[in-house]
Amino acid sequence: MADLRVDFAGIKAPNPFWLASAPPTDKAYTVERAFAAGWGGVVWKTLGEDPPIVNVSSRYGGYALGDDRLVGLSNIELITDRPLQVNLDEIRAVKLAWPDRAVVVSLMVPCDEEAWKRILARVEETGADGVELNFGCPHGMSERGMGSAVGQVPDYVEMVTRWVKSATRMPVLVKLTPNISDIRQPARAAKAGGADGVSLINTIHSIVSVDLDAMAPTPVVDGQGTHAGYCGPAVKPIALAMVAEIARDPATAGLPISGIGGVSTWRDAAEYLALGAGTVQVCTAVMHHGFRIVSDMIAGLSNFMDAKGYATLDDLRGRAVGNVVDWNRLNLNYKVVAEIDQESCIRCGLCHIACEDTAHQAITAGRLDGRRVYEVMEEACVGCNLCLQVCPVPGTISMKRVDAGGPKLTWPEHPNNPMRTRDAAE
Amino acid sequence: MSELPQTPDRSDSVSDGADAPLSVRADLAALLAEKTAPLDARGALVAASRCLYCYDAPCVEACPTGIDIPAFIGRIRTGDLKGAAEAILSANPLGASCARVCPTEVLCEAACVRADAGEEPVPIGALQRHATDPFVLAGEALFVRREDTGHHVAVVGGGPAGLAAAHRLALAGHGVTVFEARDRLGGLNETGIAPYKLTSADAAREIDWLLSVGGITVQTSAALGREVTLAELMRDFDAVFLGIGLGRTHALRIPGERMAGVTDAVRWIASLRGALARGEAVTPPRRIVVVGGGNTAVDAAVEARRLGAAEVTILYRRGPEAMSATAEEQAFALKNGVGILHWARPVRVIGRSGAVIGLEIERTMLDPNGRLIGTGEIRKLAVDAVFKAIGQKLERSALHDGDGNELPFEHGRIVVDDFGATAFPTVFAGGDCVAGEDLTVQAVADGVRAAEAIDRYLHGRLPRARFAEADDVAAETVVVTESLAVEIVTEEAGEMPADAPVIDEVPVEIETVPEVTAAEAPAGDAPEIPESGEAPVPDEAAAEPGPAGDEAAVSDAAPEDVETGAAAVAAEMGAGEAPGETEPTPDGDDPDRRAPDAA
Repeated sequence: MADLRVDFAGIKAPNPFWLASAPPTDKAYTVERAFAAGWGGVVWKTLGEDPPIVNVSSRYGGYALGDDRLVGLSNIELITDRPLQVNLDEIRAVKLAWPDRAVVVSLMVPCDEEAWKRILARVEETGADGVELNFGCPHGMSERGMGSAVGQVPDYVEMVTRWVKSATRMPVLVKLTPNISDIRQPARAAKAGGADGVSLINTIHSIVSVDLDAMAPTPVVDGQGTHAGYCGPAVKPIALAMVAEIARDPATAGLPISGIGGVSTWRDAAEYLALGAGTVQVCTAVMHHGFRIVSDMIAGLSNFMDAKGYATLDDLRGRAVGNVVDWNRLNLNYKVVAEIDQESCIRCGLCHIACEDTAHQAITAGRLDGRRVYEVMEEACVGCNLCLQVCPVPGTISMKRVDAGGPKLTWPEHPNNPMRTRDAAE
Repeated sequence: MSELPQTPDRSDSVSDGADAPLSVRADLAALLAEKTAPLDARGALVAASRCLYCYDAPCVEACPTGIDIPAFIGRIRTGDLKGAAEAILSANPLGASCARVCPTEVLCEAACVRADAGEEPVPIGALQRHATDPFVLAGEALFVRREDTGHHVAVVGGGPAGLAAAHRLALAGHGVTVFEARDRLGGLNETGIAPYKLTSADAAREIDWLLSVGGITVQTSAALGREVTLAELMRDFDAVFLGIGLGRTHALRIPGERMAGVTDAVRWIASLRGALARGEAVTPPRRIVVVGGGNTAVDAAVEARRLGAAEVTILYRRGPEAMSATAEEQAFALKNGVGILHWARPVRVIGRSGAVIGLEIERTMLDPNGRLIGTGEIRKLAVDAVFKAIGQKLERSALHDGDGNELPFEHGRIVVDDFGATAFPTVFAGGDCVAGEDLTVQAVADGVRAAEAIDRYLHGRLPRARFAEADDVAAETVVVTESLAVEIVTEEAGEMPADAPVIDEVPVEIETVPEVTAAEAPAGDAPEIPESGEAPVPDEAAAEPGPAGDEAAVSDAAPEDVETGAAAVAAEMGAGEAPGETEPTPDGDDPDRRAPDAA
C-alpha cells in the first residue's frame, strides 16, 4: 500500500486530497463530515472583513452534456457570508478535533496592508496550518478591487504576498486566477513575494449559458445575470496546462503547487501529481456526489502507485514534467497511423466522416457482403488521432507506429526550416 | 430462435380448459392497455443521448420510409421536438402509428450499431412516438399545403398506402379523393393490428391529422368494382393510386371451413374494434386456435387472451424460425399465455349443428427434399373458434380498364415499376397489392413513392414508361437490409409426390427483394421476383365464412373425439421440436412466411 502522506509547503496531511475553498468548506459541520469521510485537508471558504458580504439567490449554473450533468459548474457566490468570528471559532474547534488533517484558511481582504495584518493575527490564533490568499475569484469581489483584480496584476500579487509573509509565521499559499494570459507571471510574483506555494486554478471568467426565455445569462437573478466563475471537469485541461507551465518554469522550479480544476477521480489526481502538483483540491465533484468519493480516490491512487512501483507521492510527483516540452522539441521523424480493429468495430461510420470531411480522407467507407466496412489507407493517414477521438468504442482504433525508427528530428533541425540551426537538437 | 420456449409462460396453465387466469381478468382499461408505455421527457432525453449519430446510419437504411433517424433523435436531444416530428413525418406521414406497429426489432433497431457493441439498441420506435404524438395526436399542423394545382387524383383504398399517398399528394397541391370500401378509413393498420398496439382512438386522430392538411375528399363505402370502377376513375381523374390491399383472405381449404366459429383474424379484430368503439363488452370465444405464423396471428391471439379467452393457441405448420412474426412477437405471445403449436396443420373442422367444436390437425415435417409434408399423425383439439391468419390474396376482378385490358399481375400482385407506376398510363399502385414487405411502413413507403411519382408525372417530369431512367431510380430505390431479404424457395406443385401431399393451404405468393444499395440498383428494373409455384386456386366460396350449409353434416363428431386441449397436444407432440430438424430447413423456404403478415 503506497504511502499517501504529504508534507506540502510545511503543511502535513494524511493524503493529498483536499477540499478547495468553496461552499463545501464554509462551516464546521461540512468540514467535519469531509474529514470523517477521509479528506486529507481543507481550504476553508474564504474569510473577509466584517460585516459579511451578502449573497444573491440563484448562484449556480451547470453545463450538462447529454446525460452527463455538471460537466462544468459556474457560480456567482462570493466569499463566506458568515461573521468572521463564527468562522474563526469553528476553525479552531475543527483543528483541535482533527489534528492530523490540514486546515488552511482562505483569505480575501482589501489591498491594504493593515487589513491583512489584522485578519492574519486572528487566523493564527485558531491554530490553522496555513493560509491561502484568494487572488482568484473573477466575479463580485473583483469589482471591489479584490480577488482576480489582484491576481491579474503580478505586482499586486507580489506586494500582498510580501505583506502577508511579513505578518505571519504560517505557510502562505497564493491562489492564482487563470484569467490571465501567462500564468507564469503571477506565479513568479508570488514566489518573489515569499509564497510557500501556489494553488491553481481558481475559476474561469465565464457565462455558462443563456436562458433563452428570460434572455439573460444563467444563473438568472431577477431577470439578469452576470459573468461567473467556471469550474468542474471541463476546466481540467486548462488547469493541467497551467500547472505544467509553472512546474517546468525554471523561475518557479520546486515551488509547491496545489492542483485545482476538475479533479473528480484518482486518475485526475494522478495527472496533476505527475505534472508537479503536491496536492489536489476538489470542489465540483463533491458538490455533485458528496464527500464519499474520497475513499475511491484514495484506493485508486494507492492501487495505481502500487502497480507502478511508486512507494511515496514524491516518487510520482513531477514524473511527467520533463516530458512537457515546447513543440519545437517534438520528433518529426515519429510516425503513427490509425488501425481499426474490425472485430470490435460497430460500424457507426463516425471515423470515416470525421476523416473524410475534416481531416485527411484516409478512412474508406466500403461494403463487404452488405456490411459496412471502414478501413484506414495507411499512405494517406498522418496519425492525427481524430478518428480515435470520435470512435465510441474504446480500444477499437489504436495508433500503430510505422516510422523507420530513424534519429530524432526536430523543427530547428528540419530541412524545411529556413532558420535551421545545426545543433538545435540535444 | 430455436431456444425459444414453445409453451406459454404461465404458471396457471390453461391446458385443462380452466377459466381464464386472474391475470387476464383485469379491468377493461388494463386489458386494453398498450403494449408499451410511452417515454417521458427525461426518458426520451436519456434514450436520445445514446444515439451515436452514425454516418450513413444503418437504421435509416433499414427503414423502408428512410426516416433520417439520427437527425430526429438529435433534435429530441436538443429539445426541438417539433423539428424531430417534422423530420419523421416528412418521410413517413404515418410516423405516429408506425412508431407503435413497426417491427422495429427487425428493422431500424436491428440495424442500430449499439447492438453491434453488445448493448441494447437505441429505442428508435419509442423515441419516434415521443416526437410525433404531441403533434399528430394533438392535431397540430406541421406542413402547409402548396397552392392548388388544379389536378385531381383518385386514391383507392384508405389504408396506410392510400393515406400516405393522399397526404403527400394533397401537400403537393393536388386535389385528392379517397375511395374506401369500408365505412371508415384505416385499413389493415387497424384491422390487422391489435388495439393493444394501436388504439382505435389514436388511429382516428392520426387520420384526422393526415386529412387536416386539406384538399382531401373521402368517400367511404365506395368499393372498387362496386360503387366505382377503375375505368371511371381513369376517365375522371388525372391520376389514380391503387392502395387496395389484398381484399380476400385465403381459405384453409379444409372440410368444415364454413362453419360458424371459423373466421378471419382481421375480421375479428375489426369487429372487436367496432364493439370497443360502441362501448360494448367483448367476450372472445373460450378456446381459440389461430392458424398462421405472422404478426396478425400473434396480435389476434394475444388480444383474445387479454380479453379473457381461456385457451389460445397459434397453429403453425413449420418451426418458429419460419414464422414471419418476429422472435420478439413470438416471445410476447408466450408471455401473454398464448401457446404456439409448431409443425402442425389443420385438416378438418369438426362441428355440431353447424358450429365448430373441434379442429383436427396433422403433424407436419420436412421430407428429405426439404418439402413440407403431413406425417399422417392426426390429433383432435377441442376448440370454440378458429381464426384464420394465413394471409390474403388480391381481388383482381375490378382491376381492368373496361375495354378488356386487365392490369398485369405477377405472383398475384399488381406489377409496378420503381415509381409505383402500373402498365396503365395514369394508374399507380402501392401497399399490399404490389410486391414487397407486408408491413404498414412498407405500404407508407409505397404510398409516398407513388405520390412523388404522380406529382412529377402531373408536372410532366416523369417519363411514362415502366422502365425509367437510371439516375432517377437510384436515389429512390427502397433498400431492404440483408436481414429482411430472405431467400424464399417455393415448392413446385408439380414435384409433389403422390404419397406425401405437399401442404398447400396458402397460394404461393412470395416475393423477395434482393439486397441492393442505391448505387448498385439496376436501372429501372423491378426487384427480381423469384418464380413461385402458383397453387391451385382454392374454392372461391370457401374464402367467405358463411352459413355452414351442406358442410355442417360433414364433420359432426362425438364430443369425446375432441377432448384434447390444444395446449395438452402441444406438450404431447413435443411442442416445437421440428421433426425435420436433422435436416436444416433451407433458409426461408416457406411460401406463407410473409403472407399472413399484415402488421
